[in-house]
Amino acid sequence: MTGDHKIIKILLVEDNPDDIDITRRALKEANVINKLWVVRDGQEALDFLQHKGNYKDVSVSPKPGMILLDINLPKLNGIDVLKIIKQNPDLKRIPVVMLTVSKRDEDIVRSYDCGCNSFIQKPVNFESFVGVVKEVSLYWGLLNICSPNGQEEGDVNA
Amino acid sequence: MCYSLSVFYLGFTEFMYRQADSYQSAYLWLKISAFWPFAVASLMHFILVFTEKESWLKNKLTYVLIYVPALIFSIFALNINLMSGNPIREYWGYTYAIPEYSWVYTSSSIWAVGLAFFGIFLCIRRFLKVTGTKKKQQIKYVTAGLFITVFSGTVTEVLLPIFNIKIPELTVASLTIECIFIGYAIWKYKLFTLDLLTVAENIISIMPDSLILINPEGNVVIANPAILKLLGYKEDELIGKSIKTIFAEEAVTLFEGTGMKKLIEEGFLRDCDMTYETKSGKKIPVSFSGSAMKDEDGNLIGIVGIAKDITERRKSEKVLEKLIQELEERQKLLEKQKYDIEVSRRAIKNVATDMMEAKEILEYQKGILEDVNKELDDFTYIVSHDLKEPLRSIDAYSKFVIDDYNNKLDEEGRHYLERIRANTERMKKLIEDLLEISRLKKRGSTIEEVDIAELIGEAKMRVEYLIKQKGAEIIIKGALPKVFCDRVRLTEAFLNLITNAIKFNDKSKPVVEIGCNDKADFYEFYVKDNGIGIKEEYFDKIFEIFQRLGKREDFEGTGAGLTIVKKIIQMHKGEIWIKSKTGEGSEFYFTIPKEKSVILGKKLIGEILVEKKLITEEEIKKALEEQQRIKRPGKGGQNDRGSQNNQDTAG
Repeated sequence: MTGDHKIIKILLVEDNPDDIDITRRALKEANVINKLWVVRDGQEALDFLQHKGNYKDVSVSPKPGMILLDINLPKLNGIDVLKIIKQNPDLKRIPVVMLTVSKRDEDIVRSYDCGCNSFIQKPVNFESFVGVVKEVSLYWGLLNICSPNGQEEGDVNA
Repeated sequence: MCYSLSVFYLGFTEFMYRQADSYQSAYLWLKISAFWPFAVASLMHFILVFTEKESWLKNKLTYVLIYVPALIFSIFALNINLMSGNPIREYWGYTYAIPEYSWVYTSSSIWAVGLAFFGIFLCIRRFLKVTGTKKKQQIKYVTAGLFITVFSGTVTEVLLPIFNIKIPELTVASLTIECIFIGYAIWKYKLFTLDLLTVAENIISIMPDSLILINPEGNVVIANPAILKLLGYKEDELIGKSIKTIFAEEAVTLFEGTGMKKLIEEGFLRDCDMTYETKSGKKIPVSFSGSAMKDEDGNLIGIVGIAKDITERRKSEKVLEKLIQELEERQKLLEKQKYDIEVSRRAIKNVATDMMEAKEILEYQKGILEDVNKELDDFTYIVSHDLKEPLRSIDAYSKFVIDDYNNKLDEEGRHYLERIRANTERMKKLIEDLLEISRLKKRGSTIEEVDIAELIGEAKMRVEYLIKQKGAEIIIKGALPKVFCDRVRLTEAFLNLITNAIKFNDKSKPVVEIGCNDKADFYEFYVKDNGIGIKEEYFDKIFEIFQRLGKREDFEGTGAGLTIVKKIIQMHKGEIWIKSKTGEGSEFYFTIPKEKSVILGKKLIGEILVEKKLITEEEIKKALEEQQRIKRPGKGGQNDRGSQNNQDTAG
């Protein structure tokens, strides 16, 4: 399906080990060639992205091409993390997909207000979930043209 | 003046022709005297002026009648042959000869005599008509003079010549006498000039106020026309009578006591309220002013009394009094209304404060409700997030087992795992329905005018698969209206009802009929089917959450659909009910109000009161302003009320 074998670098922010399992398997069943990093709470996600704490080594924590962010997280919740990411000049161009079982209007509105790129409800049914993961990854990881990394804002605009 | 000149002219010419020393000069003078008719004419003119025949004098015809004949006769007189003969020498001097036969002479004589007699007639008439002794005297003299002239003139110039008795004509002499008489009248009685007495007489007779002159004995000497008219007496009925006749009984004492005393002492009495009594006994209020007249020795010789009828003034005074009284009554009424308003104002104030209190309570309850809602919201979140997550895991892991351990599982093991997955799916649906119901009220709604036909078309499209699958038919009966509603939710309601109608149907061709009845204030929609029907005992139960009447294997669904429909209809302030017979089908009915305001339920109490005409908008406005005014002092209002309450409890 993809000729160029482009590897999609994904950061999964998820505290539920079941979900980590399921997401990993779904990605595999969706035949998405990827490199997946998993962090377990909001703080860890920020450390990873800003190379702090356990993630000082840049080679251990590369800049992801896409972030799958759960809302219900310990320490800092998903929306707080999203807000920080979208306010950070280095991180704000990374596509953030809110992936959650919640369909609360309030969460949806707040997520978009904070600049999330997509809001997707995790289907209960596994096959449906595989479909969602596949489409999201392909869209944000391959189809959608993301902002080039390491470029100044002015250049991007030009 | 003109008359005097003409008389002088006549006398002079006559003298001249009589005293002429020769025939020629007599003839000349006779010719010159030919204008004698003008003397007659001017005499007539004088009489008219004297007798004040103003309307005649204004008429030009009068002058024509007087002076034109005079002119004609004068012209004739110039031609001596026609008028009179040549001058004849008599023993006293020249005279004129009367022609043998001259109709001109005769007619001129008749004209002159006739005019003179008419003058006398006018004078006599004037004499009878005129009042006032002076004028009467004047006329007497003038008439007498005129009479003598006319008599002598007629006798000497007309009658005697007829009998051929020759005596000197006395016309001129008598004319002189007339002049003397007139002169005397002018000198004695000031003919044509005003004097104080005449003026006074005139004033007295024409003044609108009543005047009496009383002698010291208290009898009326003079009464003017005004008082006669006022009291209804004739002059002779009042003259010589006591003043008691004039004054009303009570006024007599007043007049004889205080009035007279003041008159004698001070000489006058001014604007004294008295009462006159008319002949018929009617009492007339008057303002009486009097003046005492005294002789040189200071003795009272008479009293002049002038009285003004003040009936009208009294009337106006009474009206004024009544008006003042009315004004006072109105003032009192106003005071009372003011008091009433104050009472109402206080009542309104109390109501307003009560309302404010109620509002506070409401605010408090609203707070509680918000807390409850928050909890409900949290619950919703828990349900959607925390309950669904384990379900996801169960479903995913079951799948992993099926996929990864397919070879190691027998048919039965696989079946059990499939059942686990089927139940997670079902539980997911239940949770979602639960969420939907709890979310229904939370989500804001937009009430707009929606074409129901269009809305049903949309619902149909969404169940197209089911319709095809079941081979169902949907019939729209009659025209569907446009109603105010929440488009999304009402579509959901129709969708649920249509789905149920098709799903709970054992017929080979499910038929669904949708229609609407217009009922005055609302629309009544119905969705009929030819399905399995419902027993009457379950009519209420079906609207409760998760109630299913069919066997799970036979019919899909969680049983929350009708609960959702009912909630949607209730949100539109409508009602829903069912008619059904087992085996024949069901008919679902629901209503939607026509008025948008009813659906929104935003009607204020005030609006309802206005609608029911219990209060006007004006009044509400005022009450609100008043409320604002009370509110402004802030705590003052509350304190007032507090103290009032304390008093209440104390009492």
